[in-house]
Amino acid sequence: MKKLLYCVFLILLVVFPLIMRSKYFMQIANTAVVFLIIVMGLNYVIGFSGQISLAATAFWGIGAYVSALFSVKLGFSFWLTLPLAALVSTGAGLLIGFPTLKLRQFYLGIATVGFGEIIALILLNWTSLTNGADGIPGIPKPRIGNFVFNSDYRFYYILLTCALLLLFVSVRLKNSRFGRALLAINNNEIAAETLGINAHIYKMAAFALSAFYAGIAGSLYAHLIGYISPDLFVFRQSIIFLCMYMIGGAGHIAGPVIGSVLLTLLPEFMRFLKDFYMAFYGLLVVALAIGMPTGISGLIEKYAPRLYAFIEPQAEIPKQTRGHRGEA
Amino acid sequence: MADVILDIQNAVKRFGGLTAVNRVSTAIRRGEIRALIGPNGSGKTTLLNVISGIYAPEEGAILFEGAPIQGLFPYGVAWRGISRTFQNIRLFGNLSVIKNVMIGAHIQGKAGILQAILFPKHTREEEQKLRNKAESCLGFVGLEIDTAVKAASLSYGQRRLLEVARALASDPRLILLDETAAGLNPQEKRHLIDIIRKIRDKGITVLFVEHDMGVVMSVSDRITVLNFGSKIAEGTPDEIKTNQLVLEAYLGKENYAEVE
Repeated sequence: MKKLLYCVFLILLVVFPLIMRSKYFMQIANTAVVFLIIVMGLNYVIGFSGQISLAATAFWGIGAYVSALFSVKLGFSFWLTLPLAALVSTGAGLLIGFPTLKLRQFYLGIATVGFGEIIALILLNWTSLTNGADGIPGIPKPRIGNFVFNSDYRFYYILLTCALLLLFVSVRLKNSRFGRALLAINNNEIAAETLGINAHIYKMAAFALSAFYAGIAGSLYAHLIGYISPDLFVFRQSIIFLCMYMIGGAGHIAGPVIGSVLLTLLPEFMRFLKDFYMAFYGLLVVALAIGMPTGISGLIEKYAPRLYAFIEPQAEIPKQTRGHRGEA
Repeated sequence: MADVILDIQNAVKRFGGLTAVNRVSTAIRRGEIRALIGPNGSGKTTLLNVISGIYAPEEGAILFEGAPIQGLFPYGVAWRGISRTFQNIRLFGNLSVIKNVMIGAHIQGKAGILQAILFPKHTREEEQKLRNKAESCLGFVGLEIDTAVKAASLSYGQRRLLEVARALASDPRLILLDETAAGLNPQEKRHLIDIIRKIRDKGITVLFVEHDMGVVMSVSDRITVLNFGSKIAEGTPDEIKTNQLVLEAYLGKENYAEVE
């Protein structure tokens, strides 16, 4: 039954471009998938290991620029620049994670903001490498033989494949010895350490994984749009990713999916508000954050355990699920 | 001397001007149940924290099975074969009961990120092994509950037992219990005494901090008494019961004279 539902869902995702006639909406959908990958990466740092990262945009930018530079300046194909971008971004994650992950909470948050600002400044001011504010145009589309992924409809399938693979990875990791160690650190770091878990190494691994996801998203984004510039990779964007993440629900597999799709589509349905729409968007985000601190997935877990069992593979559902609220 | 599992030699731990553990030495034999008692603030928990690597001692040595462990990080101490519980229960409240104990069995496994993703046969078997281990530890402490519920939703007594099960899941050779009987009712205390004996019968050495003299006297092989960070006595329950220094430490010198 559950498998059947997953299959139906998968088929819907595959045929989605065939029934979607609006080219514009297809573009939005693709952007949502790129964001989804980044937000899934955040889950390792924030949801699993319980740390704060406001550097997602920086790793996204690193992935995008590595991909763009290698393909435009050296003529590498997308199939090479994608793993390269992921690798460089992961390396940057390990490098920045090593000193900063000794910090706690706020201090870690501030350190990651600082890192994001440094990357943004480098992208803007290292003109000889990055073209500065002009950005990098003409990033080639991926191709297999003579088939070029030159439309949003075609590119969607690359994005979908990557997103599903990475979703699968996060399901596997969450329910593994590795994932349990991260969750243990999140719940009680001292207890985790006395059980043989080296918290610093595990936090670094989580940080590197999130950089890996963001690096892949950066590469995909660069080849999808074909043009990147430093004004994309600014601090504000990290906050948007964080909003998507928190509203989807921290720590759940479905959280990033719900949050990123919802918050990417939401502005489109609010265009009729014209000049006021960003203000309403902001208000709505505030309302959602206050109304459901555990995010949408958290609400589903509490009030619809059966639906939760579907969207959270290998979820543990207590035998007599009591509906009462508020436990520690 | 008999087989010594933990040899504490002149351990010193200071917090600023306060010497919480002052040149404490003791040797714990393999297979014994050792109680660590003393008035509040006498350094019992600090000594456990020094053993388990949460604090590094300023002076002295701690030998576990002959090898020094002072200054190791807590995870290093765990890998050597020592596990513990905490005075203020430190469970993974948001995680299910079974996951709590499976995390306790962390060092029994090897699987990393890649194995988790590819999930080959030996990793599947390892997961099953950890799960079985966790279930047998829950059974061992007598926790027969729905293992899918979150640890935070258990009753106080169940949480205490869950923490013991979690500590046992790593298959330690030495277990440190920090005031496990605190807050338990008489029936739960009797159950705990049984568990402590069963742990020893499995061949695991027990070092426990306890305020409840009923528990201490009925289960310990030997007792070490701390006062103001220093060891003031050590011996069998009968010896400790009649030790002048201990009675003074607990009742105060004048009060003790009045009782006399």
